[in-house]
Amino acid sequence: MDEWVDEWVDGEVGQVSTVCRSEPAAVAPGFPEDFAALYREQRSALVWYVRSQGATEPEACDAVQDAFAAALRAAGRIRDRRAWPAWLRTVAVRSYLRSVSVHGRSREGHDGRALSAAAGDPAEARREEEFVLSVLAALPAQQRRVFTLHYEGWSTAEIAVQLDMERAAVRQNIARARRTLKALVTPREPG
Amino acid sequence: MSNHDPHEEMDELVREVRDRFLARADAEFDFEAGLADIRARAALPRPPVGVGTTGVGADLCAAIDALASILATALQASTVEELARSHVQRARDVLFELRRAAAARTLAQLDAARLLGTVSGNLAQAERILRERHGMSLDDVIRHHLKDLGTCMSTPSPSCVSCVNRPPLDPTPLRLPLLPPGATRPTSHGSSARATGHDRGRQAAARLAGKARGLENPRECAEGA
Repeated sequence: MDEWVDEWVDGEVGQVSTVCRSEPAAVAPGFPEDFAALYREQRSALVWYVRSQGATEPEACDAVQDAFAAALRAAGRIRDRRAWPAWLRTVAVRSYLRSVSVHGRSREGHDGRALSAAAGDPAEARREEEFVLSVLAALPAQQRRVFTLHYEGWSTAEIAVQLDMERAAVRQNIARARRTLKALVTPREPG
Repeated sequence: MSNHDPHEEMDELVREVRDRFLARADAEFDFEAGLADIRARAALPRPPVGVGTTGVGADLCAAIDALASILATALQASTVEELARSHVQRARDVLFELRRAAAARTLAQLDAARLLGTVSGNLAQAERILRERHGMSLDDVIRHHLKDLGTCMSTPSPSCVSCVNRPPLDPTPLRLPLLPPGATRPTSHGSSARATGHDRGRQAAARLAGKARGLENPRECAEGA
């Protein structure tokens, strides 16, 4: 995975690393104190992000741990604290995709059930969680990446920088993803 | 013209499920074990003694992390109304301020006491509001929300508020910085490694006030080990 880190830090992944270099006043997380805070703040959101790309929970957790380990090794090389969330997402998803390409796995499709209220029923809540994740994972890759960042609260501009896209393309992908999702979760009329 | 967005429901659902996932993941995950795994994966040696991952400063930081995690669970609960939520949020923010000072080794006893006072004041306010308007304590809210998330509490425990408020909790006050390099301080961390996030939070909360009050000067945070 180190080569990914090098690539990312060297700017091959996109503009965020360039942004990092252009803002030398910002500082990398102080280690280990700030690293622990970064881990606590970002870990669960990262697991969700990788899961929404189609990973199982163990795969996502493993990829996230790998990403933070890479972050620990790269600590002195990314200076802008604000760049870490994007950096971690890129590295975590790459780690997941690499493990899939090495080990292979069959992605489970969703069963097309309509969503139901899950409040108060932990088992149903977990099923609903799995269902939403499987539906997100069923989106086309670009729509999925845009949409999951959108749901994490990233602005159109931030997503555009992170994914190296035009803002208009980001908005278009969000709209398409919504339409796709709606079609996926709407129960089909019996034919 | 209607303002109804046909996608609003979908957005709300995905966000709700995501928030629930994050709350559950934060509550269940053992962050200390996770950090140890990361260090192993990064093939980095353990940090040297006294830089924030060992000793009293580290204990305090771990206790704050765990309590903050529990408070995050409260913030996720739909039963917590805005005013109570703002007090819990404020308490959590101040906890992180306390943590930053402890980690940076700039935490003096007076500052620790002041920050803890703010935390306990806000938690008490949240508790009062919840009791008055819903007949529930903050702990009840957390317990119910964790139950909704499918996370079990294995042991009953004292309330968040009393944990932060009570006088020095450790039966034997911390003596700092007396342990020789390499010596290990018996803590509950090891024994709680498999506890749920909630249990760890409770144990951590119970240590929090004691640890903070044990800090005599800024250097102690660094030299506690």
